[in-house]
Amino acid sequence: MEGFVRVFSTQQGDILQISFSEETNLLSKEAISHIGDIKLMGIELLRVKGTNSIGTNVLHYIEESVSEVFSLCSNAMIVYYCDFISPIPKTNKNAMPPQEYRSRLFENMFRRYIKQKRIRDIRLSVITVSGIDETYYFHLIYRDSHAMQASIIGNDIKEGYSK
Amino acid sequence: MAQIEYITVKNATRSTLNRLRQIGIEKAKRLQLMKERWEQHCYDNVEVVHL
Repeated sequence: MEGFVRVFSTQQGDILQISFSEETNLLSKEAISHIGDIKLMGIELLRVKGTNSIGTNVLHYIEESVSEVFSLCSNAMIVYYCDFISPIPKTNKNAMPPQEYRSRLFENMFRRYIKQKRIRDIRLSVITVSGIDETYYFHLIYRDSHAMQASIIGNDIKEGYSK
Repeated sequence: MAQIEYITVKNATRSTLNRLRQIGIEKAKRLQLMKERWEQHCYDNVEVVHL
């Protein structure tokens, strides 16, 4: 499966871009060789213009774009690393760290979407790697039928990042 | 089996955390580069979906 890019604008005039492309940076070569013909896709979300808060229609559009990956490719899996650098617009300094905020937001979006659409065969793994004063979040979305490959990826991240 | 599972790695080493931070920084640089291309109108012909 080739990646794809969607650009969309909100009612407030903000412009965002979501892109899906093959992800090769997060896993070890050994893990990649063990997942067979799985297409591991990464997601990057870019705010091109504007600083307004994201509305539910934007979140819904992102959910549909993710869903499209699974519709287009029967052996797709999605892995992404929550951004910790770009601040969340209109939040106070004492709010939770941006990466945790994004991880919780994306988890809630997944929960809501599978409930709304009554999807039973897609799963999410939330992988958290923490040190003394910092925490990083990965998400892995996969079909039930790829649970074994998801386990390989989960273990690779867990072992690779706990050394 | 739950549809959401949680895998946690605690007490990651300094080198691991540095590597993760580096991944995030590289991602931010890629996105910044893309944003600059937008500002230089390199993507003017891209179709924009209006929500």
